[in-house]
Order: sequence, then C-alpha cells, then structure tokens
Amino acid sequence: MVALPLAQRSQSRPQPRAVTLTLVALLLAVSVLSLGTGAAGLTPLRLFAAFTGGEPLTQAESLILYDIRLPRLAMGLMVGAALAVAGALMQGLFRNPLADPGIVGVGAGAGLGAVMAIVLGGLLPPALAALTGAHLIPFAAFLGGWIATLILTRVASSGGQTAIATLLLAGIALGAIAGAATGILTYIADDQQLRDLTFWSMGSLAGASWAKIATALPLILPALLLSPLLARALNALALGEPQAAHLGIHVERTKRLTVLATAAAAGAATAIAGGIGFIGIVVPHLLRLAIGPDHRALLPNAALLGGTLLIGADMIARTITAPAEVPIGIVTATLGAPVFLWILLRRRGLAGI
Amino acid sequence: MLHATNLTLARDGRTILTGITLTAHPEQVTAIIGPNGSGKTTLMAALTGDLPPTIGQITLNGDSIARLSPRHLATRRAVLAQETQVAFPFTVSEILQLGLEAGPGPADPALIPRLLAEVDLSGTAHRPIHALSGGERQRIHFARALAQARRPRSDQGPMWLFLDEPVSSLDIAHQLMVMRRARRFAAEGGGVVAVMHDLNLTAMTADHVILLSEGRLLAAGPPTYVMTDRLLSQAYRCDIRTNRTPTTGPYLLPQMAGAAV
Repeated sequence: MVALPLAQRSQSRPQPRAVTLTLVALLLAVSVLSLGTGAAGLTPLRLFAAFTGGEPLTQAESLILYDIRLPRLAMGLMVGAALAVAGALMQGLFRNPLADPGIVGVGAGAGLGAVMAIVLGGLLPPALAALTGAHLIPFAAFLGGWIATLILTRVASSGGQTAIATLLLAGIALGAIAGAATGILTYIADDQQLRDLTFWSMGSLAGASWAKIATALPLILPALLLSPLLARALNALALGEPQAAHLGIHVERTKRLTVLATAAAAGAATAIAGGIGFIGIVVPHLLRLAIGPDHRALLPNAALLGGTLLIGADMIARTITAPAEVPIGIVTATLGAPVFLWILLRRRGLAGI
Repeated sequence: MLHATNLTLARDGRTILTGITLTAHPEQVTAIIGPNGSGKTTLMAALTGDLPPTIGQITLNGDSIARLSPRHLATRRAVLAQETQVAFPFTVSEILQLGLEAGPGPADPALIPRLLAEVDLSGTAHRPIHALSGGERQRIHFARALAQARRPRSDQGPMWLFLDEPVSSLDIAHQLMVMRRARRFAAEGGGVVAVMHDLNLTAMTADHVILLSEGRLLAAGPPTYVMTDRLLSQAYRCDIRTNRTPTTGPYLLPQMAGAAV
C-alpha cells in the first residue's frame, strides 16, 4: 500500500543535472539578494546600478559590500556546504538518514573547545593570547572537534575493524563528557562570558571576515573535494559492510576517510560559525527525496543546497529584527525542525528511517 | 579452484570452525549443508574473505585471498549474502549497477534488463528496492551477484559465485529458477559455492556436497556419497531416511524421519 506512491515518485525523479542547475540558479539568486540586504541601505537595485555603469559605489558602500557582506556570503556558503556534506557523509557511513556529526561527538568536542577558550582564555600567557587574538575561540573549537574524533576512532576501532554501534555509543559517551565539562565551565563563567557562551552556542555568521574564512578553508575545502571520491564506496556501504566488501570496497579505509572528512568539515564549520543545527540532516533528506540516494549526485548537490539554505537563513537572521540580529542557529532550527518532523511523519514505517 | 586448508576460526574465544580442509572446482556447484549452528555461514564468511581465519589459509584460483585487495577479489568472486538490508531507497537498477561496476571489465547498463528478466523481475528497474517483497529483493540481490559475475570464465580463470542460502525466501518456482541459473553459471565455466538448507534441492543441484557438523567437516563428495541415512542422521541428530530415484539421485521425505528402518 505504501509501495505504490513511493514507486511512482521514484519513476518521476528529476535528472540530477537539472536539479544541480536549479540549485546553482537558486544559489546565485540568493547570493545577490543577500549582498543587497542588510541594516545599511545598500539594496540589490543600488548594486545593479553601480555595476552597470551608473553612479559608482561610495567608499562606505564599498566597505559594506567587500568587507562585511561579501565575506559573510562566502562564509555562509562555506559553512552551509560543509555542514550539509558532513551530514550526508555521516549518514552514508552509519547507513542511517538520521545520523549527524553532532551525534558522534564532533559537535560536542568542538563546543567544549570553544567554551574552554571563552572561559579560560583569560588565563593564557599574554603573549600567546596576543598571538591567537580573535582566532582563539574558532581554533579551540576546531581542536576540540578534532580531538573528539581521534578519541572516537581510537575507542571504537579494534583490530582494524570499526563497529558502527560502538562508534555511536562512544559518540554518546563523548558527548556526555564534553557536556559535563561544558556545564562546569558555565558555572564558573562570569556574566560577560555567559553572554558570549550563549551567543556562540546558538551559532552566528555575524563575525564573518576574510581572516576567519582563511582559518577554516584549508580544512573545509579538502573535505569537500574528497567527498565525491567516497561516493561509490558509500553507495555500496548502504547494502551493509560485508556486502560493500564483496563489491570491492575497502571498507575500513572508506570509514576512516569518511570520519576524517566529516571531522574536518563539521569541526571547522562549528569553529567559525558556532552550533548551527539541522542543515546536516535536512539538506541530504530533501535531496534524497528529490534525486534519490546516489551519493555521486547527493554530495555535490548537498554542498550547493547547504550553502544556499544557510545564506538564506542568514538573510532572515539579520533582517527580521534589523538592526539587531537573531542568531542563525535559531533560524535554522525554526525552519529545519518542522521540515525534519514532516519528513519523519511521511516516511515513518518505511525502511530506511 | 577454491582451496581451504586446515581452516580454524575462533570468535570471542569460541571455536566455530575446526580444521576444515576443502576444495571446490569450477564448472561445479558445491553445496555446504549442515544443521543450524554447524558453522555454514561462518565457513562462507571465511571463504569470501569477510572473516580472516584464525589458522589456515584459503586460495582462490591459486592466490591467497588474504593477499588480494578488495577490488581484485571483487573481480574474481561475487557474493549473495543471507540477508541484505539496503539503507536508503536505491532503485533496482542502481543496485544492479553496483554489481556491474564491481565486476571485471566495463559496466554496461544495457545488461540490466537482461539480468532482471533472468530473475523474473522485468520492469522493476526504476522501482525503489524497498517497494519489492522479500523474495523479490532476494532475487534482485542474486541478479546483482550475476551482474558482478557476468563473465563465468575469463583469461583470469573462472569467476566464483558464493550464495548463502540463495532460495530462503523464494517460492518453489523461483527456487528452481535460481538453482538452474546457478547450474548454468557452472556449465559456462564458473564456480558456484552455495550454503543450502533444502536437502532435496541440494541433491538435485549439487555436484559436490560438504556436510558440516559442529564446526567440523563430516563428509565431502558427490550427493550419493554424502547424503546417506547414516551421515545425515548423524549430522542433523534426527533419524533421516533417504530414497533414490534412478535419474536424480537421493531424495528424502520429512514424513519418513524417525520411521522404523
């Protein structure tokens, strides 16, 4: 009874290429809108006029465009793409569409790193503090995510085999440890630090700068470029680990590389933008509904849709209460959680959830 | 040729297989039979390279399988596992495509309709595999193994088809269909190793039967040699009386179990 609509839907799947072209067009449209939207009155029309031979941008307008809105757009694209691809990779690895880097402790580890930097950063020797400067929090968050992943693979792997169940349970344990440590740090934090903590934990693109992008890009870009190379192996892994091995896949290597790519993408994204939820779960889900689960099409399109969604969410975050800003994590949760629940309701009872 | 020498396999401190030495020949169907818990599936996992044996070694076409990369191993053998749960709603043709890409030589999608016709599932190519019944899914995965083993014999030697209970969810017509297809694969030069539960189907199909009991090899040879009252009764711990037709060898009726000899 449930089989029929599912079969019909699958037969009318759009071509992945058509979806990619649509997503590129959507990304461009959202990007232009985003560049022309903000508290300062620099509109898309004004930009269009300036770039088609009309009155050139004033110095203030140039500054807003190139040093505020453009890096923010680039960071939204980068973080959104990283979160969506990390989600798709994890889900392929765990053979479960509900898996997410947040689940295996990468997010919790990154969070602990950031909180430690916020609360204990003042104890650093002045020379070191001056050296790290504004990058202390992102760097610590990335380091925390990375260490969590290293501990995770160390605990969950034995004799060259990684059991997914152990990996998941280890992720839960790591999350609990990181959560407890974060709780202790929250207790000893002062008022100003608490405000910083709250803001960071909800996620934001507000601090976007070319320098921040430069700290995360060396991690996110290799992870994004590596992911398509894992696509065929992840397709085979959907049949099970022994079955993937029967199909010629080096299962252990695939799992190691997938964990690495996920940690790099999700850790670095969390590091510069804080905890932004739901992109990693909602984007791959929507794409699987549209073009099917083939990772060869899923991963690149997830990068596009993830970037587009986050840029859109950021636009909402900074206009809805302008000139104040809502943390973007609130926007993605408000938009993403109902979509997620709706997907669950629709697909509940079907295999694959 | 598939050779296993003195295979012993222990897991979590429990010995599952003890000192098994066996040979399977190309152009033959080799059936592994034995009661529940006798180690059939573990033996299969060792022969396909899933579980490295604790002691002993396995060679496929002359090469130790422990030294072959997964990629190379996949060009020499295809496997139908006992159960395969597909995690995402892949379509039937996407599943078969995985088999085509794993096998030797170029993956030609034009083979897909032919493979589906061979398992009596024409027209399902674009359906998600979850929309099919259990028996249909088992045939799709059989077709995937056939896709990977599309050349029963090449200059690399024979291709091998490992089937773990290939007919467990099938009706009688499709049981016969799958076993006939496996026989044809052997006739075309490939090797088939199948874990079997149905003794009559085994007697009809197998050239060579390996009987396991409590992780040890109890007997190996042609069905007429292995499938005797004494050996089967000993292995399955149950009085079994076999009979014989002039043309197809032994058969047995469950109604005759425990009947006075």
